[in-house]
Amino acid sequence: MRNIQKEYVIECENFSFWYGNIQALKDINLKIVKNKVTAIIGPSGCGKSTLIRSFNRMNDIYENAKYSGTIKFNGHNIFNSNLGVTELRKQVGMIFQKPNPFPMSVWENVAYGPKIHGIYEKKQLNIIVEHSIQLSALWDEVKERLGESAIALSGGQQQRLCIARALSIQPEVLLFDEPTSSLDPIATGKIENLIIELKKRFTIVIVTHNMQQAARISDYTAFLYLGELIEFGKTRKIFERPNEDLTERYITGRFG
Amino acid sequence: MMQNPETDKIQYSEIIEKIQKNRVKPFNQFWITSILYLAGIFSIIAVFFIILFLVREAIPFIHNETNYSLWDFVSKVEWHPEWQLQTDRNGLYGAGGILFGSILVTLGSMLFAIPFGIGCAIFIAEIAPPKIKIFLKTAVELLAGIPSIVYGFFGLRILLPFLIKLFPEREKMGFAGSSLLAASIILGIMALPTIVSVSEDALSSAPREYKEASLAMGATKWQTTSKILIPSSVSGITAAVILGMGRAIGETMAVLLVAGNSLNFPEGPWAIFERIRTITATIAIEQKESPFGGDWFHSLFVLGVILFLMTFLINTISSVILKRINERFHPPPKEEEIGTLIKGKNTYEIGKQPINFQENSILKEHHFNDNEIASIQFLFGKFGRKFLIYGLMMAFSFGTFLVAIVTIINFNFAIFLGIGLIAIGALIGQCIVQIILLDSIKQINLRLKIANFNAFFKSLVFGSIFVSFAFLMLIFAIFLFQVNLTLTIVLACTATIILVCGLGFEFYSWLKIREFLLVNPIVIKRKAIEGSKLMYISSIVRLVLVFFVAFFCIMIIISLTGSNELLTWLDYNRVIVSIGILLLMIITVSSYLTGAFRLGRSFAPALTENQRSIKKLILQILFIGSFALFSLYAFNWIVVIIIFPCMIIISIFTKKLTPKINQILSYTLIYILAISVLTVLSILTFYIYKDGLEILGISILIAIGVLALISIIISLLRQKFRWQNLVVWLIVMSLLTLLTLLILNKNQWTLSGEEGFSFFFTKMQESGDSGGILNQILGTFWLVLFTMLVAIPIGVYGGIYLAEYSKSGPLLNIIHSAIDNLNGTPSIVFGLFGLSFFVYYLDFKISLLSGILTMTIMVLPTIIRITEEAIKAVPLGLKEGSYAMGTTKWQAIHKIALPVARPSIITGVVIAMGRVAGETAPILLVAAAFQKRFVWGPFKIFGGSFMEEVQLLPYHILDLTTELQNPVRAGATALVLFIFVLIFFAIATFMRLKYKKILK
Repeated sequence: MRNIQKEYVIECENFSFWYGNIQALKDINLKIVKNKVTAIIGPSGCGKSTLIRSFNRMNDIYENAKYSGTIKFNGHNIFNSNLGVTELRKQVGMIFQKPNPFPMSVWENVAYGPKIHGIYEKKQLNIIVEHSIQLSALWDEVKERLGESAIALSGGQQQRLCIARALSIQPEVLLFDEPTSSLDPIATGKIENLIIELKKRFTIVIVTHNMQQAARISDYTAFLYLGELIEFGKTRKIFERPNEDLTERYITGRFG
Repeated sequence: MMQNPETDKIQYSEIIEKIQKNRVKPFNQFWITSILYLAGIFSIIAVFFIILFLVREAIPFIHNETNYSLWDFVSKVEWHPEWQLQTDRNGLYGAGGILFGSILVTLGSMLFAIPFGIGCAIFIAEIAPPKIKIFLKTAVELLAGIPSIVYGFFGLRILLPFLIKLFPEREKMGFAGSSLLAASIILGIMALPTIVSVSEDALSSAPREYKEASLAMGATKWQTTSKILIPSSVSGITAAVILGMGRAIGETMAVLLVAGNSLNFPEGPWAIFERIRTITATIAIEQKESPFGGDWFHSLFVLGVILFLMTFLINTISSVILKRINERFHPPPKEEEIGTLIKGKNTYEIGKQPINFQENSILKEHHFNDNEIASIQFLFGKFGRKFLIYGLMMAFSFGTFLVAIVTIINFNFAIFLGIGLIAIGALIGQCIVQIILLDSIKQINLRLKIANFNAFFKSLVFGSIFVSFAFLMLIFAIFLFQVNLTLTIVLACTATIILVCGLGFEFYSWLKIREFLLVNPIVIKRKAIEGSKLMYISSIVRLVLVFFVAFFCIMIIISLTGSNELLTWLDYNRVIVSIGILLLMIITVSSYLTGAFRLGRSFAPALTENQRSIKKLILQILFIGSFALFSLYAFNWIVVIIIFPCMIIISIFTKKLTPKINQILSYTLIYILAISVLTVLSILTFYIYKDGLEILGISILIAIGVLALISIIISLLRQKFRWQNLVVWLIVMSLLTLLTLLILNKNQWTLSGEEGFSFFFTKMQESGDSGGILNQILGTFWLVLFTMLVAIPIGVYGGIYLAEYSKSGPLLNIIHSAIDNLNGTPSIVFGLFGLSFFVYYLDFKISLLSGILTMTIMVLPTIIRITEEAIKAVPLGLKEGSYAMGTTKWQAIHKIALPVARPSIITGVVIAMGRVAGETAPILLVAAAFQKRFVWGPFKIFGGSFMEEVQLLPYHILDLTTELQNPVRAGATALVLFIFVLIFFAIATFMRLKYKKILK
């Protein structure tokens, strides 16, 4: 029998997280598989965003955040200061719920990443910009407007621009925090297709409150409830024959 | 463009590898953070240094030659420090009159600023259509930017002659315009923008839902505004008024020019026409004359310390109030209160637990709900014990309070008549309240028919009757004062005895009731809640009455002792006695009612109404009380006795009108108030132009007119014409002014005036009587330039530190309060500090350098605050977007946050520049000179130096007005300064509009 060793990019081991005195995550054990889409679902306020933000240490900006346990990225503990937080974020990119393009031109937005990491030559930047925007399926719409303000784009275009920006430094993992919740259905569809395309080259973790979206695009699903990981496994199994009763009640919409 | 896919692909992967290998250097994170930290705590260091160096020069006064103690300094009314310089005389340093003058001027300015300011704020927030709203807001901010010397000049040239014309019979008595009245009007105008903008902020930030709920019920707009909106913004409006007071008390130049600066203590009544002197004016006038190191020199620093403390107090109070507003809209999470109800014989627990009673109780197994428990809590509370202590304190404070009235107002029987009538009315009110209260307690008694309760109830009634009776007797005693002394004494003594008995009865009965309830808790519901409310009202009414009681007692004692020593002592030290008494009264009243608050805090929500109404009542008493006192003093008792009842009658009357008519009347009033504000601004600008024309000639206005036409045409072409564009408005105003003046005075002005455009470019000659003001323009230019070069880096980096790097906690709070205090500190205090530290301690002497450093300290807090706010306002999403790409904090700030915040920061910087250019008081003390050899700049190539004195525009105006009596030239200089400030201001407004676009 072929031993297909699954490669884990991110491994959560007994990870707990507190905002001040409130415990947001309780003993999460989770492994993200390489080049697959892992969806994290659950009702509002159950800690999905907190978990995904821990993967790239975005929670560091909160003063009274505490954690216990470890998260490993490719085997290295991310909280270990040997792997600096800026290095981590180079490898683990994030796209936010509300599109947040910088108040600069489209070109400037995508060139921002390479510029801060040492690329200054215009020619090289041009290559990166074009490549990234093409990857995020936005090129045809903005190739004439690279110099215009990014804020002038529509919501869906802005979000794809943010994806292009995240791709510009070629991270290994892409974290999506409810990327389509502020977009219309057509834009949502475009981004879902994009994610399915991107998973060939990147590992993707997506938080979504939309179960159908998770069912559509993900390979693995994790169900979080009130800060605890209730169940994790292949998407098909979760949606068709979940182990836990709670999972089944959520999937079938008995509570939300 | 992808020409060759293969090569491009290889190139691409090479680039990516480069990115991946790139390591972000920690790049001196430590140094960056340290520099930022120093800039951030600058404000604490500044406050510390200011206090240190002010006190350093003030302390030597304690060992002064004339043996003046600090008490003497503050209470005596004789200020002749210049006598120290004469060999056979001692200097007198009684600053009581000066301190009193500052307080008078502040109250007087508030009398004008509050109605107009709040009216204007309501107009802007609620009534004005959007275009006019922005227009008026900008106009009010323009008022704020006008330098104080320009106001003072305007007051001198326009207001004083106007006042003389207005009160011709006063002129015969020697009234020459400069007076408390003039100072109050000018300061009122200057404090107006502060009050309007903060109040308007408070009114606009009230939640929209309140308004909508009210309108949905069919209330008129005015009803909504007056009954819902204003009460909910009362804290903000109070803070605005207090801030306005801070501005008024610290103002130097305007007061100096229009207040008269007489050293006599102003006597009431009609003190409003007297000349007065303030702390700020004293320091400004006398600093140059006082020899260094002498008692006179140090005494001015003592004044500076006092002024600093006063504004410190005012700023702290307004910060506390503003914090309360924030807490109201963002209340901190409450923790569940669980605790024992009373400690004593039986302990109880809040909640649904059954309470243990004594054996014979009829309510053994009763379960109490929260309301009932709260009511029991109230009655159980420490009310009884505290009552006596507070009662005693009240009696004491009243006597003193009334002695204050005696010393301020000339003893006048007519006043007593008035006060007596008020007292009788209050008594009757109290009796009614007392009856209602007792009735509600009786209801409880009827329901439960519990033995012994009757006895306490009766005792309470007796107590109250005795007290009321005693008051009546005392009032009669006073009326008989002039008729028959013996009768008066007898009545007074009897009344006092009855009073003491009555209070004793009341106290005893409340004690017993409490004990009784401890043993037998009674089911008390709404009646008790109403009862407690009335309890409060009764206590307040009683407060007022006991005031009068003690007053009469002491009056009697004074006359009985026959000795005049007490009276002369009081007369001599009246200022300090009055202030001390008022303080005592405030402390007592607030402590009494705080005790009641403490009880109220543990009440059920139904009872917090009392809390709020009492707080409102205190504020009203304090405010109205101080203004009533002020009016009694500044005007005449007739005015007070007519106006206050009139106000009450009007408020009753308006309740009878239909809401629609009410709205029309109120709106009319507010329109009048708002339009007056605009009128004032127009008159101000008009007259400033008028003087300038004589010197500059009509040509300058023609130039402005041409510019105006060009800008209007350009705006119309680009379709960007906006009414709120202040530049356009100003230019239109100038055109109108030009036309009006041309029409009015056809022959008076020549095309080029006395000097024409050369006024700007010629050096000054013949001590200012001819030539131009090039010296001064250059001086101001260099001052502003170098101040900005120093202040901007420190300010911006300090602000960045506070916004991004500091942790919230005590340190941050201290920094914020230090900044707020520095922002509210009078500019002359900065001048004194600069004098003490830069000029003398560091021996920079009076020079441009001292001026630059002093001004830096003055504007830094503003820049720090504005930068902090601007960076905090950058949406978090943008910063997070940057962090997610792997930037350090510093990179994110520099590349993303700062550019977005830049327009806002520039606005603040430009406004600060306007302040540096226009402030007179600090540079008067540390940098300015009237005459000096001309240099192009402070550098060696120009032949100048930083260590020389410098000629500046505001100082030029001051000297031309006071020393040289050349008002026309002063007016022209004022116009130039005004135009400079306008240009700064227009840039700031322009930037702000641009900023709004970027974030959209």
